[in-house]
Amino acid sequence: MEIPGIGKGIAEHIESLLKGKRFSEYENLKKEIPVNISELSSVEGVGPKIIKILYKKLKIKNLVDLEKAAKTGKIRKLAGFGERSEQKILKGIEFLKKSGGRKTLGYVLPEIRTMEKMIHAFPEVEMVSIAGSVRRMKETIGDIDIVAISKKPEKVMDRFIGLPQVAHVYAHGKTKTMVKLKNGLDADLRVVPRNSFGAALNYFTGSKDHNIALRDMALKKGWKLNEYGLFKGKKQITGRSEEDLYKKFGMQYIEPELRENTGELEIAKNNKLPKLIPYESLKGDLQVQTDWTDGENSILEMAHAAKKAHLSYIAITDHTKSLAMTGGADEKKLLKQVDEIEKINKKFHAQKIGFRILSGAEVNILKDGSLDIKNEVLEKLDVVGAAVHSHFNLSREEQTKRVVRAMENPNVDIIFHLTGRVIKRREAIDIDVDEIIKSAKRTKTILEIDAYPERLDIKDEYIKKCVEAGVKMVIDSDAHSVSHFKYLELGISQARRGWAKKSDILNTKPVEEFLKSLK
Amino acid sequence: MTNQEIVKILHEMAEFLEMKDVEFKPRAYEKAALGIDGLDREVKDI
Repeated sequence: MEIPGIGKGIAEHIESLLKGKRFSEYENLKKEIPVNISELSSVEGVGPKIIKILYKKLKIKNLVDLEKAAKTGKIRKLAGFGERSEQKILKGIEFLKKSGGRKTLGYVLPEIRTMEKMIHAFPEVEMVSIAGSVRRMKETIGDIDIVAISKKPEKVMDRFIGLPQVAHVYAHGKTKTMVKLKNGLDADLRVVPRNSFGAALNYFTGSKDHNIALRDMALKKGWKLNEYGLFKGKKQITGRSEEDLYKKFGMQYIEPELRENTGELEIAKNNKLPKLIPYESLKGDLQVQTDWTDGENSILEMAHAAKKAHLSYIAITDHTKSLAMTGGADEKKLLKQVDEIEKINKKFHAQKIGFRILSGAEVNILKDGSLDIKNEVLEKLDVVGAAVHSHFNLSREEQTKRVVRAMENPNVDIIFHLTGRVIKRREAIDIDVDEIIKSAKRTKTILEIDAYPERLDIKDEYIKKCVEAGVKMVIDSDAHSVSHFKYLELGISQARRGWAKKSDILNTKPVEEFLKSLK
Repeated sequence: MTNQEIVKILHEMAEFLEMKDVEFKPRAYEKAALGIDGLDREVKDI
C-alpha cells in the first residue's frame, strides 16, 4: 500500500483494520484511557495535554462531564488553570452546541462523492445527483439529499441500504429511503421517473426560500410546481430538466450556488445573472506553507503538488517571527528563503518546467496594526499577505483600525483570512467589514478567500459585498501539506455563492498579469 | 471500513499517544491521517 505520509508500521495497522483484524494497540489505549477523545478535542482550546489532566484529576470522560466541571468551578482550581481558562472552555462548548450537528462541507464532501459514484454504479440506476445544501455548496451541511432515476426503484433501495457508509436504516420505502451514515449525517435517497428528475432535483436542492419564491411565481401564472414537475391543471408542462424548468419561467438557468432567494430570480428574469467563476479556473495559489515553518512539505514538494493540481504558480507564505509556535521566520530566514526559491525557479527554467514560485510571507499584524517584519525585507518579496493571529478580542473600532493600518502599508498586497473564524470552533473577530472593504478599495489591497475547509474566510456574504464594491479577491488553499490543493475547489464554491465572476478573482490570471495587478 | 473511519482512528491514536507523552509517534499518526484524508479514492480499493 502506497499512500503519501504513511510509514510501514502504520500502513500495517491500517491493513489489519481493513481486513477486520484487531488493532490491539488502539484497543488497549482506549481501554486504558476511556475518554471520548474526539468529542473533547472538538472544543476550542482543548487538546490531548489538557484532556490528560482533566481525566486524571477530575475523571472527565466526555462533553457532559466537561461542561459540568466547568460550570461548578472545578476546573479553575486545577494547577495551571484559572477562571479565564474555565470561561474559555464554557465558551467553546457553547459555540460547539450552537453549530449543532452540522458538518463542515470540505470534510464530508469526498465521502459524499464516493457514495454518489457507488450509487451511479448500481446497474439499475440511470442517473443520480446529490441535491440539497451539498449541491449548493453551503459551508456546513445538515443532511444529504440524493435523487436518482431508475425503473427498478426497489432494487436501488436494497442496494443503497447495503452501502458500507450506512450505519442505520430509519425507513426503507419503495421510492424513498432514509438512513444514518457512519459519519453521523442523515442521508435520503429518492428514486423518481425520468420525466420528473429536473423538478425533483430542483425541489430537493432548495434552498427552501428559493423554492417558495419559485412556487409563488408558478401560482401567479396559474401553474403548479412540485417535485414531480410543473403543471397546468393535470398536464405536465415540464419536469425533465432544471434548465427547461427555468426556461418555462422565462428565466436564465440559475446555478445551485445562487439559489438562496437573495435576488437571483428577478435578475434571472432580466437575463442579467453574472457568469460565475468556473471551477478549475485558478492558475495560482497565494497562500502556501512549507516545512520552513508549520507546513508538512518542502518548497519543491509543494511546487510539484501544485503543478499536479494544474496550477502554474504559487507563493510561499510561511508564518513570521511573532508566531513563535509555528517557528515563524525572521528577516534573515525570509531572505534565505528568497534565495532558495530563486534557485528552484532557475532549475525549473533550465528544465523548461513552466512553473513559477513567488516569494512571500504570511506576515503577522500586531496589536497596533504594524507588522512583525521590516519594510526593507517586505519590499524584496513578490507577494505579501498579512493576517491577524492574536488579540482576537479587541473592540470593533480598534480591530478595524488595526487591519486598515496594515492595508495602508504599501507592501501589503493581500489580507489573509480577514475575520479569523474557524467554522464550528472559533467565532469571527468583531470587525467592520464595510469599512474594511472601503479601505481595501482605497489602498488597492486584495482580500483573500481562504479555501481551507474550516476557514472559508471571507465568507460568501462578504464576497458579494466585495464584488459589488469592485474590490478584487484571490482564492488560496492555505495549504500546509501536498494534499491540500484540492481545497481550492471549496474556495471557488464560496466565490460562486458570493456571485463572483472570473474577473473578480485575480489568481485566475497568468503569473505576469497577476503580479502587475498588485499595488 | 471507510476512509473517514480510518482517519478518525488515526487521529485518536495521535491524541492518545500525545496524552501518554510518547515522542514522534503522534506526529506520524497525524501525518498518516492527513495522507488518507487527501486521497480521492477508498483505501480499501488500493
